[in-house]
Amino acid sequence: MESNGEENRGEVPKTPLENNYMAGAMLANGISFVWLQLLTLLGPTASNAPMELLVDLSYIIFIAAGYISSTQVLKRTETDHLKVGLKTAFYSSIMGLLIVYSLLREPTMRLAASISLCYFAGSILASYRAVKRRIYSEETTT
Amino acid sequence: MFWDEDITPEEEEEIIEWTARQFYRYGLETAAILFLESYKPISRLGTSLGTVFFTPLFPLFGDNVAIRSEKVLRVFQESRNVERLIQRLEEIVREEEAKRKESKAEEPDEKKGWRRYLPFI
Repeated sequence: MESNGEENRGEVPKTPLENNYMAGAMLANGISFVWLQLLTLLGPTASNAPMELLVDLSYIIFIAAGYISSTQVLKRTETDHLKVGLKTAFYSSIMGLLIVYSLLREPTMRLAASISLCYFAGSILASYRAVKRRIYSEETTT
Repeated sequence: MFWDEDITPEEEEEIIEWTARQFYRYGLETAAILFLESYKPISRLGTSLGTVFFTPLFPLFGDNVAIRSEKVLRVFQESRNVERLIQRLEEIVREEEAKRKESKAEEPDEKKGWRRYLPFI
């Protein structure tokens, strides 16, 4: 991957590689996993933080994770933004499913589905922002 | 219906221009590009589905709408025309942005948002 980057220095590849999608999935799930671990400290059994607030915050963080990872992968594409964003969300969801069922103490399908949905929402948002950035960028307006 | 009518290249151009202008008018240029980029490979399937489901409804709005909409569906059957629509939309955005910047340069520096209520800022 690094050697490829060295060879193509200064050139942006037109479509992301599989490694890029995997890296995006790792990033999204890294953010989510850190938050899930933090919840054990902030959760209702450990602190006085209200459950509803933590649930709402979790959704925001999962969407942000999907958004951040998709934004990074979308930097590697020039066309088909929605396709690339959704593919990143798909990879992230698969990895999220593995993480939820292998690392968490009480895995539930609802949690995995919520995380997956949030990744898709975040990736659509990132795709929209990427297209907007492309068509309204300084290069195109001059 | 009207399938035997030929669409001239000028008509094709006019339909693409009209569609792009309508997208821009309603501020949907980003969403349209995002959707059309993904839709392009299946444009034939999409327009075929549109023809099957919506064509019977078009005559309710009059003959002109029926003819026009069928022509639009036929034009966007070709992925080449979808690509042209995307490019035209990008051009329109560039043109309008350039115009906006020019008019902004001519106008005096106006305060925007909450700053206009504060005379000392």
